[in-house]
Amino acid sequence: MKISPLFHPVTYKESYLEVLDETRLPEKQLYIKVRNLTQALFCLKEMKTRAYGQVLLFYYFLLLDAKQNKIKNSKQFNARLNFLTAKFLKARPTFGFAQFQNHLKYLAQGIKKEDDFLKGLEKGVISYIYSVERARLSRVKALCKLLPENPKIMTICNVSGELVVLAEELKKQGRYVEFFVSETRPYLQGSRISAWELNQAGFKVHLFSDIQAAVVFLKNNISAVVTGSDRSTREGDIINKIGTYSLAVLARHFNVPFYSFTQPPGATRSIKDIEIEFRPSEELLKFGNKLIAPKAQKALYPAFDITPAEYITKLICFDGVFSPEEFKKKWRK
Amino acid sequence: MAKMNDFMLLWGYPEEGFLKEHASDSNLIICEMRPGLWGLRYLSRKLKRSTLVSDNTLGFLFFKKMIKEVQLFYQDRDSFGYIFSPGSLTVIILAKRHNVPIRLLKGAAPLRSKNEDASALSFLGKSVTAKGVIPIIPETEFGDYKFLEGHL
Repeated sequence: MKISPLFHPVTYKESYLEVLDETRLPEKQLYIKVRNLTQALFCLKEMKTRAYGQVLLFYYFLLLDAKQNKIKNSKQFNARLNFLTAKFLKARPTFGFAQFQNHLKYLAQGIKKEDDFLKGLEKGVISYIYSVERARLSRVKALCKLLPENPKIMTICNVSGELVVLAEELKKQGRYVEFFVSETRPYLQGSRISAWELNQAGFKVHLFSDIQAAVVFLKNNISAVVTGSDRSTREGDIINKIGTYSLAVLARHFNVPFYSFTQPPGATRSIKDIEIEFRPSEELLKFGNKLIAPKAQKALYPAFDITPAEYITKLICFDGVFSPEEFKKKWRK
Repeated sequence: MAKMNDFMLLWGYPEEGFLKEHASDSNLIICEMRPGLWGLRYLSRKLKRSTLVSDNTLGFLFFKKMIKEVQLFYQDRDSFGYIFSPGSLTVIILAKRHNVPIRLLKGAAPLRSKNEDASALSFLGKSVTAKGVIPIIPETEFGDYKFLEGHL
């Protein structure tokens, strides 16, 4: 089975981290070495990694930082954890770093006093990431069961390699899949990453400009929209790359199911708890480093949007498939 | 910039007279209009106080109730309905879903540049994806009178 480099875009190398530079794809597959906080925050702010890459960067960097600072116990670790989480949140405010902070606190508290703290932390982080990746593989299999025999799937941005896993799984089952990818301005993750990785893996990919989505639904008998999500709420809403909500509204209009891979909501009760990150307008007004609009042009660039539960058919989670109503009940407990 | 809930969204190719009349309006949202980037390349120069967004931001703006009206420029009409520029169907469905009124105006013929991107395969002439990816070429779109009923 072919695995996309996007499936595990950050690697822990004990004395440093290797981060796949997603902004250089598809021309070059380059890796950035991260040894300190400045380099880690640079990767975040400059969108070198995103989505699942941010999860890996956070966990692995916390581990790396603990080793560099020779942390001896959970008290010392928690002080660094609080400091670093604030830095990560400042860099990407919409992402759920606070949720991972709570999990790491819990992990650190579980390390027995008589054990070596750093070894315990390393074991805990690595086994947690391994369990997440196994769960990611299994949720792809769960989605396969929901799709028709030979699906035509519309997607946006990039689902961190899970669509390649999905396509491979369908192929193994003797099924044929086609993808329709929305280009995803301004960083073009749809064109540069999703279309590229699916094409590299040998699957048929159609690419369209974001605004063409309605016509693509109308003319191509799309079977499902499949997206990732950066966060979810306990109400069953998702927060994902800008443009996701438009696809969900259109999917509803054309009576097409909308599926989203998502993760536990943590303490996020509703969309009121979410701060939508507005990125600098230059990111829209420049291509490469070149200004492509008049110098005084005003612009708005919200990096994410919210898709309310009412537009979502199923949430594809690590522990199963849920309707938004089931998801809400599960997290109400 | 205009108040956050007072924006007028423009989609399509406005005529020269419209552009002159609204040249100093600050409550206009213009879109890039991929793949040719007509909004970014042309409208931004004519509507100097406008606010530019990427095309995929429209849903967010409607959801946040930032758009009070859509001004949609059609290219032609016949006894069945309107011929629109590419992307109009998405704009209409989003506006209808959010109960935002659409004002239809006769538009200009699109100005084409020979360097314009024909599809999402490139951005300002630069290839942005892998060889072998199949482009969906934008075409004019049709909206019949019934579909638009009640929202004009």
